[in-house]
Amino acid sequence: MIELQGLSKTYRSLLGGRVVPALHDLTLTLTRGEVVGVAGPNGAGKTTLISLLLGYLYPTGGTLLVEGVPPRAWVERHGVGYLAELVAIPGHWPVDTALRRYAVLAAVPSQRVPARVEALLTEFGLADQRTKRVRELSKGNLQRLGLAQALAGDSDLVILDEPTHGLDPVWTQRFRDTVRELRRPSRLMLIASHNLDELERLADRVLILHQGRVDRIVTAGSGAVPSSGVAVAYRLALGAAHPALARAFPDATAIEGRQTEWRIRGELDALNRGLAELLSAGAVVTAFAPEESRLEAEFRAAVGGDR
Amino acid sequence: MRLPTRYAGWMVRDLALGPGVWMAVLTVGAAVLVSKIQVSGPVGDIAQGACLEALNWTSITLALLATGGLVSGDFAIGHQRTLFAKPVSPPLYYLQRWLIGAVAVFIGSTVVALTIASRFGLALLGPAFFVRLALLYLVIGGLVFLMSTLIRGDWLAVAALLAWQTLVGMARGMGMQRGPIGVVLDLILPPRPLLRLGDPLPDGAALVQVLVYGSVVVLGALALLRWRPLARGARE
Repeated sequence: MIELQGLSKTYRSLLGGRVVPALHDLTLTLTRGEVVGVAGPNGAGKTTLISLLLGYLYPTGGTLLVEGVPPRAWVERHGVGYLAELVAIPGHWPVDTALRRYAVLAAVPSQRVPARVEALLTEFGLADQRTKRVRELSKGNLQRLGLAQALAGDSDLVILDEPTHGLDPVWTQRFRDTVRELRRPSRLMLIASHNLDELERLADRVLILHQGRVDRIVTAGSGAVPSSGVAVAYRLALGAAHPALARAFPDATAIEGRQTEWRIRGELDALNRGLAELLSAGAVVTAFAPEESRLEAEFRAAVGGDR
Repeated sequence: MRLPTRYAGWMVRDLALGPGVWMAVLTVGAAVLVSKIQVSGPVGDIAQGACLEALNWTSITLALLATGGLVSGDFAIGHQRTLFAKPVSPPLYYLQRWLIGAVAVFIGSTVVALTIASRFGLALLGPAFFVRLALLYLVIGGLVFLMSTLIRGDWLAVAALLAWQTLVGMARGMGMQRGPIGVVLDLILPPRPLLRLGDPLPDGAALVQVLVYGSVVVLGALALLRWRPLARGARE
């Protein structure tokens, strides 16, 4: 659905004195039916990438096509379900009026607008806030209104920038359910977030941007294996301290206050070898659990100490 | 069919409840003032001239109010990012708002002109009046439209330009010579002297000048909305 070929974006001041490279040589394909996460430290180029996808900015190098046409032309024809990182809706608009307007803008047929607005108000828990002005909403409610307006239409392209920012745990969970419900073979969803746990739960794959480049693409989901060279931290608990531990995991560090628990870190092969050695020496493993997600490990490996 | 007219209704409502309030106050104020003026005796002709001048300035002010913040209002709060992710064309969206503003200016100016016409017994409201009003909106409203795609203080900038132009006109009336810079500035500044509502229609070169100026500023605004970046890149 979306093709990026050597996509680059460099910001230049009006007189060309200040040059800030934001994205450099991105080549990838995003297809319908998938949920793609975008992660990266601040300034990695996430917002620039989204602005390019919406046709709000123009590339300074390479090409970006949505179904073979430039993004702006595609957006004006089909629309995008888009939530901006900072939800900007005129403060004097009442909540229901705002949703009605966005539904109209999203080309919802006029006879279906009232029902669509009611459904959005209910789905995002805004029914009791309907007459409030946007400026009177709490951060969480404003974020929910932002999500509701993004989903007012029925676009095949959904782009959400920091969608759970400001949401409480209940609404974060509901958001996850909403994303799962939104999945369909014809729809591509792009979620940019600093919340790696969120991306790991929702995305099929995650682009990790670093200094304007795609450092790596991580396949998310429980069956995925960390990239070669990526060490993951685990917590190891034994029935009792065992002398084979020092041989199996020479870098194991005891967890403070726990007599039989250690923190170990390593690549998957090394961890498996260590565990096998430990078990064959007669140690009883009572727990072996990751201390961080694979995505966190990949992210840390990608951005190093820049995070 | 996704016509821009689908959101025309709330654009009208926004104009009526926003700048429309000030436009109504100005229109009613001008009409009341005109209705109180003495129309006969030695001051009658002066009063008539003053009223026509007031009609000009009222129409210009109405145009400034109707178009002020037309584009810049959305861009100032970053609302364009939400708006134009929908299947909406930015040039058509703002052109429609600009045209709705034209209707409001026509209503306000016509009310004031009607009051003057009935007070002084003038046949003011002929086709020439409406053509002149359309040209005035094209030039002044178009200039604010263009400025609005570029800067936040759009109407203020145009008001300052008009005030400066008026001062220069007065200075010239008192004998100040027009130098080469003045010639260039006359081409850049709105051809307001050609737009006086009580005068006959401009023709020939004057009409071309007005039409070209108005078309350039409106088409310039539309072209900017078509091709300018709708975001600055970093989060707004």
